[in-house]
Amino acid sequence: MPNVIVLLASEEIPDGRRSIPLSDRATVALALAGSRNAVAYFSADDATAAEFAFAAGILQVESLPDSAITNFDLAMIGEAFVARYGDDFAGRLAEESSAALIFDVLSCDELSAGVRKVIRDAGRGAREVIELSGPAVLVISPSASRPGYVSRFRRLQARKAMAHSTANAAIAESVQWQPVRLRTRKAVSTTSDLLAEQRMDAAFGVAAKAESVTGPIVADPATCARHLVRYLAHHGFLPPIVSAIEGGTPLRLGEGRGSSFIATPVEDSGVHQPTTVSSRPRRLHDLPQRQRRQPRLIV
Amino acid sequence: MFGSEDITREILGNVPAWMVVGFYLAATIACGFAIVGFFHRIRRHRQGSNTRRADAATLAGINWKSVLDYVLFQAEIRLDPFAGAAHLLVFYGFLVLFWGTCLVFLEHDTPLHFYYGWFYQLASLVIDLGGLAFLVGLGMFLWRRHAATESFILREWWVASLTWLLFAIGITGFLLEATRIAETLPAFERWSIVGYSLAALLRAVGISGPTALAWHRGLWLSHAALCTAFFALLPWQFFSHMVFGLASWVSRSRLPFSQLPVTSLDTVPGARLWSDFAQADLLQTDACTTCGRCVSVCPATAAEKPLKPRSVVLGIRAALDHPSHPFVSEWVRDDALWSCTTCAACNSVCPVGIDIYGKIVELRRGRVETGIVPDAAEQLFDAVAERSNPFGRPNADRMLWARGLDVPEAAENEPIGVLYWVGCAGSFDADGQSVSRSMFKILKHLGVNFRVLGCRERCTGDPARRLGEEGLFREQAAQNLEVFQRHGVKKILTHCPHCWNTLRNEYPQVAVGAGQTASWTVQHHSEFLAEMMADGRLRPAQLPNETITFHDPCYLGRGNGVTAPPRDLLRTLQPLPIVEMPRHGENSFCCGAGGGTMWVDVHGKDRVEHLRSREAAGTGATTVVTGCPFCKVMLRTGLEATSSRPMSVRDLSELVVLAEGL
Repeated sequence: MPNVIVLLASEEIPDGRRSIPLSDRATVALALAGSRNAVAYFSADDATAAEFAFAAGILQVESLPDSAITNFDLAMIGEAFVARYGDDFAGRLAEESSAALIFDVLSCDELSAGVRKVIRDAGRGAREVIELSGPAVLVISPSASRPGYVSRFRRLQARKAMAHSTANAAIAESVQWQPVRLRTRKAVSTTSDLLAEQRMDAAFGVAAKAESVTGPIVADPATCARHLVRYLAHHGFLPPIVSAIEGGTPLRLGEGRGSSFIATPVEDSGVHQPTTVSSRPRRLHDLPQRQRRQPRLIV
Repeated sequence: MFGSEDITREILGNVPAWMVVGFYLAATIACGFAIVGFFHRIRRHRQGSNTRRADAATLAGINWKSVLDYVLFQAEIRLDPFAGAAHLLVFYGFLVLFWGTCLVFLEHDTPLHFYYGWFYQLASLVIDLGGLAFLVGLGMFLWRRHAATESFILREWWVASLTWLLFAIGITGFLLEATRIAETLPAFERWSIVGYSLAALLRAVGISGPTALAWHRGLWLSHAALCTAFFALLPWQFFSHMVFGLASWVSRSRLPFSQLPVTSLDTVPGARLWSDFAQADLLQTDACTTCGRCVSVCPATAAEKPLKPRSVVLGIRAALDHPSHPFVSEWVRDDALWSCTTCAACNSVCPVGIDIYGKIVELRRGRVETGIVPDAAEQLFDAVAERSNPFGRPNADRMLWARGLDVPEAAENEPIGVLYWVGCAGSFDADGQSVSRSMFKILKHLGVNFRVLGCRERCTGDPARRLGEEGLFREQAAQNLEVFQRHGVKKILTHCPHCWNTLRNEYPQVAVGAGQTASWTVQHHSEFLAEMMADGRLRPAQLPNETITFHDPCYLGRGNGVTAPPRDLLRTLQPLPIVEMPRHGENSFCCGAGGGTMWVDVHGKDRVEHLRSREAAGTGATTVVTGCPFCKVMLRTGLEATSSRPMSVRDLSELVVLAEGL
């Protein structure tokens, strides 16, 4: 499935209200038609755009990062977004990603893997059909097909869901945690006397009294689920208080159980090096080489 | 006790025992089948949403006298005189025949002995008359089904076949009696006026004695088979109205026809599947008699748009009956739904109290939540959400109608005793603006201390709500309620029946749901002007040479039962009597603008406003008066398109201004 990103914005209308113009709505429609996993970016102060994209069916909605966006196959941009960030935004985006740049796009259909047919409005009723492969930046025309009507009820639900996720993200942000990324272990030790719990903690990077890790984690489902939930709560993907599946002991966000530890990255040496760990959230300054990222708002 | 015991007949004398046993067995199975069928239907109904309507009837709240009236005198059914007469004949005929069957059962299968002498003769007469009424009533229905030209009659084969089944039961019953009497033609059987006459006819063609008895046996078997089939079919198709019709009528909504109940927004609003409907709604689909009255009064149907209200009800039932196709959208067309003007004429004439209008709005809500709406509806929703009016004009233009007038606008947080609610039509539409200016002049003339909200007034959300955008309606309501609270509004006066209905009937429910109190009263300007006239505060001169006809707005007349005040006002204003249109008062015909159809226009072969305009022109009146800005613009455009002679269209307030010389 192609990696599709959407950049949309709302525009101000009289009375201080905000509206999503036709082009930006069409952008969302085309993105959803191209990929169920589209990601929408919006300006941090543009809750209207975020709410619309989420309500329309884009499940990953993020504010525009400071760094360049380069990881996409298709970038679809609405005209309101262009109006806000300037005409050259699309150009810079295409240049930085070595992507094709097409304006006034009416439709984009995938012909085969990586090959797309793009129809653009050439003006005066003319249409231009372009076949392209590789990444592309498409500025969507207001005449493109729009998504179905997004009701106020759906927008209200989106607003509530996003407020909830934002609250969790804010908590995560406040303790300066980094989201843990699952790491693919290049080599594993053949022996280990670690408990499954500790290996799970190590695998998720939350906590591990790691000495060695043997193979895939094998544990009862309840244990795996408990630690998955704990891992998610630890990093702000779940509400602050998470009850343990076993024992009913509530865990607060960020708390570990047992001894304190932090996980350290596996050196890319092909051999797992046991390290001493302590239980506390990972600090940014511990890992200066890591790129700081916002947790993704996944609902 | 009842005279000679020779005056009687042998019950089942000519019927072999195996046939009797077979009939009782078959009847038992058929009754069991019917009972299972009813339980199946009720179980399906209970799969609907258990959302309880706020207006739903409870056992304690039922007026049992009105139930008795409904069953015995059938006033709702007699709204159509022909069908009402036919139904009464069938109903009472059936009851009498059933009574007669019970007498035979009691005489034959119990120790009781009474079926002889004068009682037997009297019973024979009554039963024959009942049977005759039964057949005459059914004959009337079959004539209408097959020979009459009314377009609202459903001519599906399964509807006619059920009617023919009942007719066949009646015919075989009389032939049965006739062949029994024809064996010996005893004189005392003259009291069976139909049976005796038929028996004489049979004897005249040589059917008597053993031949008659042979026929009698065959007819008895046929009659028994037909009755068994009837018992078995009771839960199905329109036969089920015999049970569910009364339940539907008893549990019907008691709200004014134009009012939509406010439901919770905890779940996604609207209906997509049949099971999204409330249980009471699903019961109503089984109560439908397919009579077609809703179709006969529907303005969209009259304009040959895709909507037939009966099809919506039967479409929901079809979705319920077909588990592999549970989406109602597979059975009810989208353009049919968007054709509805929400005039509620269908609800007002349904003999079993089905809320058709409510179901259409529920289905519209489902479409809105699915995202499938006409472009015009989407534009309206955007306009209301972004500019606070369905016309899409900037909200800052809301006070343009007041240019040059010294209209008192409320200051921030100023307490408001009387709020004049101008409405969107009164603010942005030329016809409506004229009404607003007239009202201002009247209020100023009367010295009423009123205020307007100016640009803080926002659309009530009525057109959005009728088109199915419940979320948008709640947003608008919340904003307006907050303004009302801030200003401590005591009374709201408006000239728009849509705003009036929404503010009066629906906003209080929204307020209560939000933990607020709705302490204001709402008055339509027709009521206000009639009141001022009655109090002597308005003493207008009479308008000469005006023959007037009045168009009752749906949301005022039929929707809320307000038909008298405009007429009281008009009688004072002009010497000639009001020339009423054929469809007036609570039976008024829609102008075609309601339900958002002012903006969402589904094309038919004709136009609703043209139909109404022709009706108005047909009265010969010089002026059509109305009490709604939407009706005014629709009638004006309709008359311009259809009428060859000039007719003016005025609002009640404009006539008062003219008469008062303001």
